[in-house]
Amino acid sequence: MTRENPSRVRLRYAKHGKVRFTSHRDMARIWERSIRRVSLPVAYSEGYNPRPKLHFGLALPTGFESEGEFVDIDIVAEVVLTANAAEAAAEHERLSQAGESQQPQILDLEVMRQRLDEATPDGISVEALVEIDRKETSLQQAVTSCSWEFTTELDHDALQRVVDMTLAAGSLLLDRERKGKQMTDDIRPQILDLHVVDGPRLRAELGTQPRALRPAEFLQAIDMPSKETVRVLRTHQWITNNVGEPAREPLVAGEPATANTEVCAV
Amino acid sequence: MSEILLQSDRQRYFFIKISGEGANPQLSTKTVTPTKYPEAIMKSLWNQIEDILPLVEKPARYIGCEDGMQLPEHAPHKVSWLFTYPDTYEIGLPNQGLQILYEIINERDDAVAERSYAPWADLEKLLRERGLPLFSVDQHMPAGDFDLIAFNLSAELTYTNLLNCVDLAGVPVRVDQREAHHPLIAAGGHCTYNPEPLSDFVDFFVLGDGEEVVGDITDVVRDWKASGRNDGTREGVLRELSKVAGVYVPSMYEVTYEGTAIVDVSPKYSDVPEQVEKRTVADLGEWPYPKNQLVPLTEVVHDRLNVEVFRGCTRGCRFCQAGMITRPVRERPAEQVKSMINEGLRRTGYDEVSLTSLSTADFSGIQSVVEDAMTTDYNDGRVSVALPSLRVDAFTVGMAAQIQNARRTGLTFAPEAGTWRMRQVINKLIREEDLYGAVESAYSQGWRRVKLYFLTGLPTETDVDTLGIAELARNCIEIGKKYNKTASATVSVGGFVPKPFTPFQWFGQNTEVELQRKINLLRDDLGRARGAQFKWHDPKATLVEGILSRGDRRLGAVIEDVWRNGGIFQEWSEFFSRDLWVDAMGRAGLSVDFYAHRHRHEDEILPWEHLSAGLHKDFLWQDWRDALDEVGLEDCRWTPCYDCGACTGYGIEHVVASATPPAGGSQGTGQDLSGGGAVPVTLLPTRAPVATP
Ligand code: B12
Ligand code: SF4
Repeated sequence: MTRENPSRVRLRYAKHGKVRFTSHRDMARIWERSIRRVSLPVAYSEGYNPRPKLHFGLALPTGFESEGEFVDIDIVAEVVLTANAAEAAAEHERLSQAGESQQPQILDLEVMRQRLDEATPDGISVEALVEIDRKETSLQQAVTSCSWEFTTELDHDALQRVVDMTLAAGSLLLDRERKGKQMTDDIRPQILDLHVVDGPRLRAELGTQPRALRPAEFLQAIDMPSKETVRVLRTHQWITNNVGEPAREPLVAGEPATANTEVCAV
Repeated sequence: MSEILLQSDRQRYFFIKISGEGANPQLSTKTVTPTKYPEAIMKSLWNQIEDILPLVEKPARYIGCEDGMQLPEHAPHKVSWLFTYPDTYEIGLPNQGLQILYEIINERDDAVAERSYAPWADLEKLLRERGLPLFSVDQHMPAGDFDLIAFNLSAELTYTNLLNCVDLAGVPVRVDQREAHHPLIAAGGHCTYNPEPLSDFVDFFVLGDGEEVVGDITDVVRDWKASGRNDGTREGVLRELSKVAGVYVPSMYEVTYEGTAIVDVSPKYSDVPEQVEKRTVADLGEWPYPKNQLVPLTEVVHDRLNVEVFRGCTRGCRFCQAGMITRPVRERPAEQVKSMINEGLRRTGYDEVSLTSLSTADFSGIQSVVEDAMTTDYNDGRVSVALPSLRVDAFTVGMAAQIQNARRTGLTFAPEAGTWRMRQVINKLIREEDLYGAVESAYSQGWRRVKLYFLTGLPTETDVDTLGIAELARNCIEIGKKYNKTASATVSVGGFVPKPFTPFQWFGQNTEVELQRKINLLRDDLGRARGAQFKWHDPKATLVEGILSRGDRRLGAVIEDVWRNGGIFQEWSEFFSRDLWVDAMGRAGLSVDFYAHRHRHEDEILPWEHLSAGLHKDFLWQDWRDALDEVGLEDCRWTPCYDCGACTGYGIEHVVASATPPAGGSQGTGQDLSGGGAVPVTLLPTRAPVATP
């Protein structure tokens, strides 16, 4: 009894503290090792040099913290996913009733979430793990904007002035390189929201499609003083399917583990 | 993170204040902005460091946070060690020696250990600008607050980095300028078999295996701390340390010169030993370390599980210092290796394990260990085994087939020399057939590229030998083409640097010009071979290694000069400068020829004469003469003992499970080694010490 195809799970994690200085590449390796440590039955690619099938979301620049990072993981077809111990037991029961001679491996996603949380370095916390439909658009394409929080040297009033000026501007030109060519882009349309919160900190929602406005580019465009040392936190990633529709997150922190047991072909 | 108040540290800062020497008596004059000592408590510098990390390249190398990292609690009565690798984190983290000692010290109740690595130039600049010192990566404690800063020395070109780290710690670089409150500066690792060039800067060196001796050192330092560590007692603690077997305190010895020659080295006090003997761990099975190998969060060289399968090697390659100084062979029990692999993989999450030793195919348990690793159920059996340091005569199709089941790790073979005659001289007794058999095994099992490693500039080498390298490489590629049209070989050639405690310690190194000529010869010849990729070690760097390798105390001035002129990270091509060294030699009135290119006499007193790796000098001399006669010597692991001294001198012996070489091979199997002698050799003597340095 197996599925036709591997199933896919989506994992949400936060990244805080010292580990923020690891790069996107480092994180990829950290996930590969963590997955092996907890024996998560990840599917591998075919070919000369098989790699575990992990699909990462938008890269978080080195040095930034985040409350919402995502990675999709393909799980080998032979494994049955469940979301809690009772369900796992019931599934076992059901399968033996059905006279299945070979008991498949049953993977409890909530247990797995906890184990991954323990297996990852301090500062990485695994906040949700659910099964998703394999047909779902990839994270990189689906996410339409990100919310960021900037901790700067400026006081509340100075930040407010930055906000007012930025929002009032009809256009904000930024020189940047694209495919080796020097381009000047108007990034104002990519600034979807901007305001000051307690701290004081600057909060911005920046568009990611068709090409993400990076926080560093945003800070440059608004002329933030000592922008290299501004502390940056990604608070959310948003998916907005249609204009006017409320934005949703790829996966909410603390969302209970779920598995689409019904997609199992028995 | 806890902030810990150290009583003794408080006292020592108090001492600085009342002695009226100003805030920073220990600072070197190198920086304009002095490194400011933090307050009188041992306190994490993380808050200041995190502010500058966004400004540097690869900041993850400064955060620690590895799996396996320890956060020991400091306390006034505990001896604190800062183990430091004088190169970048990427190179230094994998060092197994320091990882072992880090664990052993942290297991003690009366000691703590943290780690540190040389900061890259961008971070160093920021640290100096902001008055911040070198720090530990575990808890970001200031280096100068530790009781000991203990370095691993694996490569000569890192010596100036040692000075830089000491200076960045806020400690005077010269031994004679340090005071009671300064950390003791120590060093261990292979380069300490000739530590003389660093004797102005390092308080004490450790010869040999560190597992046991770090405990003995901790005891002495603990008692010294308990006694109040007063002014004037630094000399006292060093004198105590000099009595610990394996510890060498250069300031306890007087060197006398006559002209350029050393005529005497003797201890200054009667209770200091005349000769310092190395330490040897008799049974590796008692030391299953590292138990928790550090798993770095960012990429490093050797980013995999390492399990040391044996220590020591008696193949007897005459150029190889590691083989000579780590005798005898001490195998780890195969069962222990298996459990270290199994537990290690599960704990770390790695999918590759490297079985380290000086010649892994010689390990008695190799077959069963590799088999066990390759049939693990961990990661669905997707585990790669890397076998560094493979002898070609022991690499078989079976082994190739076995290790290729997950991912093909790189395969490096080291025939070292291009002709059988040359290989007899260096006692690397592998036949051409052995090499071809090994590469055939690899190519036939799907490898498309192998790496071949050679030395040039060996004693008695002629152009025939040099060009033999190209010939071997071409033949290997030909064999590969039978299996794969795109078969290729990387041919790496290094310039030979004669090392202390080897039979070649008397040999005058080839000059930079000569090495470059040989490399050009090879490059031109190999250029015509399709599929050969030629790489070579810069002869300029080989020259500097040669100066330091067999140098004496007079080189202290040169090392300091190079460092003061900005010569850090000399093993990195973007920083290396031959001219810095040659100019500094000139300023110190020392001759490059004298140190690097001169053949030594049999009765010359060598700078390391008062140190001992157990090897009898007459054994080494005889082996040198045999080399010149092109006579090979079999492996004493499987034949009778030659009484080199490494076992006989210390009452220990080989720990080897198999009575024959596990994978066969041409050495030690009774093959006739008496051939050779085709090229007459006159090499040694007559040439008197060159010029006055
Ligand atoms: C893994 C490895 C590497 C790795 C990792 C190096 C590293 N950071 O440790 C990499 C690939 C980076 C590397 C690079 C190089 N390596 Co390398 N490497 C090795 C290898 C295979 C294993 C080292 C090891 O882990 N040994 C096992 C541990 C347990 O032993 P240990 O380090 O000696 O430590 C013990 C004692 O020495 C002592 N000790 C060590 N440090 C200290 C410090 C204190 C304070 C105390 C008290 C004691 C102490 O206690 C330890 C436990 O007993 C050895 C071969 C070998 N098997 O030794 C070669 C070897 C050490 N490397 C060697 C060389 C030449 C190099 C390079 C110079 C090569 C090059 N041309 O670029 C570079 C230098 C890099 C650098 N800047 O330092 C040579 C050294 C030759 C020599 N000195 O005569 C060796 C011996 C190989 C050989 N036969 O040629 N190397
Ligand atoms: S003492 Fe004898 S057995 Fe031991 S390493 Fe030397 S020659 Fe070999």
